[in-house]
Amino acid sequence: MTTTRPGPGTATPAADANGAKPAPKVVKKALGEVDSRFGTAGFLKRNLNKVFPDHWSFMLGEIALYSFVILLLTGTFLTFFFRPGTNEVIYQGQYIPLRGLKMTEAFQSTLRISFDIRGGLIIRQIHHWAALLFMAAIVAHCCRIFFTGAFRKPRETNWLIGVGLISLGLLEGFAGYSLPDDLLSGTGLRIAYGIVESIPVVGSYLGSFVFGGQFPGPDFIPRLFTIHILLVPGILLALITAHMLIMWHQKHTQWPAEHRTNTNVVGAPFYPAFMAKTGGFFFATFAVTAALSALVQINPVWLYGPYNPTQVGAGSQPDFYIGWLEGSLRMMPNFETHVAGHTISWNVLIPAVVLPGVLFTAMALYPFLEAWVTRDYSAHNICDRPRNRPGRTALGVAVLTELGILLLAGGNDVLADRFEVSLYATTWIFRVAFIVAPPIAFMLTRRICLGLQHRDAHSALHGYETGRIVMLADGEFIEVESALPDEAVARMGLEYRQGPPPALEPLVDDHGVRSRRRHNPIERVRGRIGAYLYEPDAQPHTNGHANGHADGHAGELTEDSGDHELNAGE
Amino acid sequence: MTDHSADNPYAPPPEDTTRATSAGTVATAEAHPASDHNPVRPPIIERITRPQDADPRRANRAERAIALAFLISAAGTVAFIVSYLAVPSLNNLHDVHVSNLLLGLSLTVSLAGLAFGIIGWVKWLMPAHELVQERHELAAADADLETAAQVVMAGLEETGLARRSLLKSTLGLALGLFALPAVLLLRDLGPLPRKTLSTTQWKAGLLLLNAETGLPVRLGDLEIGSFTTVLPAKADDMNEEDLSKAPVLLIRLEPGLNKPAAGRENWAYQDHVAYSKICTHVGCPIGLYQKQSHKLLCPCHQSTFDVPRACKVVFGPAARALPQLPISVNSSGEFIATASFDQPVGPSFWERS
Repeated sequence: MTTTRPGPGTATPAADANGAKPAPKVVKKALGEVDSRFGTAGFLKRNLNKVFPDHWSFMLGEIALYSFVILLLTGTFLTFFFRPGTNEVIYQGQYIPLRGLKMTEAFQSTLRISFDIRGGLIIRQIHHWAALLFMAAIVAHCCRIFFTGAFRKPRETNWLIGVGLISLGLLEGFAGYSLPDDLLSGTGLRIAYGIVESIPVVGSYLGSFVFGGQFPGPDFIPRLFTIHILLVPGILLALITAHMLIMWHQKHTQWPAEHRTNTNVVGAPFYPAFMAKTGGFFFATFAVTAALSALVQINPVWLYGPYNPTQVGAGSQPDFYIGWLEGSLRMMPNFETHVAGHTISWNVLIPAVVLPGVLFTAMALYPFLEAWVTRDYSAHNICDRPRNRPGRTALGVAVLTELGILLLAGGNDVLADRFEVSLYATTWIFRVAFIVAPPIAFMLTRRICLGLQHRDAHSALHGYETGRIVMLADGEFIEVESALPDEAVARMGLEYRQGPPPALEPLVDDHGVRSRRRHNPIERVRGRIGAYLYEPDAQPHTNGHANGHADGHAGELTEDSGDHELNAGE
Repeated sequence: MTDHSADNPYAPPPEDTTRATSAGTVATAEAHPASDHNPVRPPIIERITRPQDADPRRANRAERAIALAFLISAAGTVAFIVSYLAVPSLNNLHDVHVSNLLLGLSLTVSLAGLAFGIIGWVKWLMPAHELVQERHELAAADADLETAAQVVMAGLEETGLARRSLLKSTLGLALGLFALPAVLLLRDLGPLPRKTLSTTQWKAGLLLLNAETGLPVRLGDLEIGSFTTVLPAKADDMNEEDLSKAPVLLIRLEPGLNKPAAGRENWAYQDHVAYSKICTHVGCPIGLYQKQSHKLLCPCHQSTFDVPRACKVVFGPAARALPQLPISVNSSGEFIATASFDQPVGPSFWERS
């Protein structure tokens, strides 16, 4: 395919010869002024023409990006009025039910933003809704990357940055949620202190250093404020910038389709189509958060009241992105060991420290583990269809199932109340589901993927049933099948399915001499995991295509004689 | 692609990267003569002709729809300004809600109009052609790689780091030590915990003061089956740290129900028992007392404690019973503590025996 960009130097004279209009002098002069100082012409020519593939699933990351921009804008407004102080004041503001109550400056200023500053409430609500959208979009984007294999070489670094963004997003969200110092957020912080205390050896020291003494500590809200508005957003901004630059440099992945290969990109140019569309999408994201904030109340701190260490609200729930940790805390059995004058509270340590640690570590290592078991170290620019990687898809669904169970367990009191089930029964249901559900989800997903693969392979080979019934000369009735259009077959991505990992070197050589060494057991395990997780199972339909036709479908009629050949292992 | 794809029976043969085109509107770049190809832009791989591309009247209609969206957006912005000015001061909750609704909805209209207009512009009026661009190979040629590696080594040679081991070790020492001040400076983030996690303000003789009113709780104040939160001092006089550890639940059980643990026979007073309100799981205040079953339930993670049986855990993630405060009544009929807690209250920690 002759699809190279016009090379340098061909621009003006060649363009004229080819009929492209010369640019107006003003534009050229303006660009020239910049170019002569920064050398930007080549950069602009390359990057304005950059081609971006289009698909709805590629916009999930954009939602996260634009939520972050909304968070920066609204957050800056909030800092103009919020006071991160723990000094006690008597409330005298507009909200009558709380008048005369003692509260911290942090809570008082949050009430002031909500009730006394015009537009304060809408901005506060947009800030909170955008935070939820930010986390939801990050998680959805992460799932898209995982299930399409877009984390594979050369994009492992961006995957690692993404894992960092998720964990920092959690921290940032929790910090912001805690700042107003209302009864709900104070309870959350009390739990956080309890979790820190559970860390063996250093827990009580860590708690004392982080909080500036015992809970709640007068320094903590101001510290949290600095962390929430400077430290973490700064790191987030830096990581997001790196994330985008790397994506830009490596070019976006694309779904399989006609003309799309592992070595090209097909789509719309960055300038103007993609630029305008993505700009419009920013306004769309903003519009959705504004509509939510206008119509759906979020975090009404005035109903919870100021934080009071002797009180707690029933049905306390964290924001959804913390909910899975809340659930794991709730359903953990109460193990605790007392050894040599020391206590290890496994009942807190495992669900709140070990579990997220294991999850994020596993996520970070996943691209490397997958490459290791499949021995696939090549660069991939075509998205996998989830069905074409049954093992990976099943693994992802199993993990999501586990997280979903944890999230539901985090609201077990609400569930027990709504569905009139015993509270303790819900705990036991979730404990059992935590063990049983993920393997079931894994098996089920794997089967469904393999089934879908079979269907793809079948319809690529046989086409689709037209619904036209034809009577043959000997009286037999058959249904006419029609080949799928090339485009439809290309979109199945059949040629990008993964084969089995290469077999181990045989122990017996060509001369029948048995090698003295044995296979490394790790290598054997590696091969088996690779085969089980990643080998597609659709060979029966792709092998021996001609034979299959000869014996199985002798009288088959097709409208299109040119059957699609699959690149199966023949 | 590396060797792996060569071993892969499902990998495409190299020449199979493009499929033969079928008839129709689809045409590959090769199919277009060079004169049709604009060299300023990446080559068009799929020419898409929409109804509005062929019919200027349809295109004009699309233009009007987009313009209308922009007008609606402008109207939304005007509405936002009007709503801001129309509610000059927020005097009551109703004003706050109306202001929030008006500002939010007008902002939504102004943003949604922009979004609709811009995206519609791209979708309906800008060319829909699919362009193609080759990916540049990220990996450099082997010769370049070799040169880069040689540059790295040449630089390393020039430093003499390999030969001058004295420099290596002293630099390591200097840099390693330099990390310490950064850690040291964090020392004053907080005091050492010492005994603070193990102690509370409670001690023998202190009155049990109602947490809400600050008044002493007297014998007979509590109905059978009811409870109240008590503190060793008035809440206003306590700092937040002490307030977080000190809350105690004073519960009046039905007569004869309490089964005191061994050695705690005189810790209760006439069916009144006092237990720390701070959950031994992660420290939430325990807010729910189930009168019928005599159980305390922590609303955070549902640890459940059996009050008549020394507040032992009967369900949930907490591992330890709630610490009991020994109580009695003084000569004027007010509840007092007869000792401090015999163990730390609240969540477990490493130093706790």
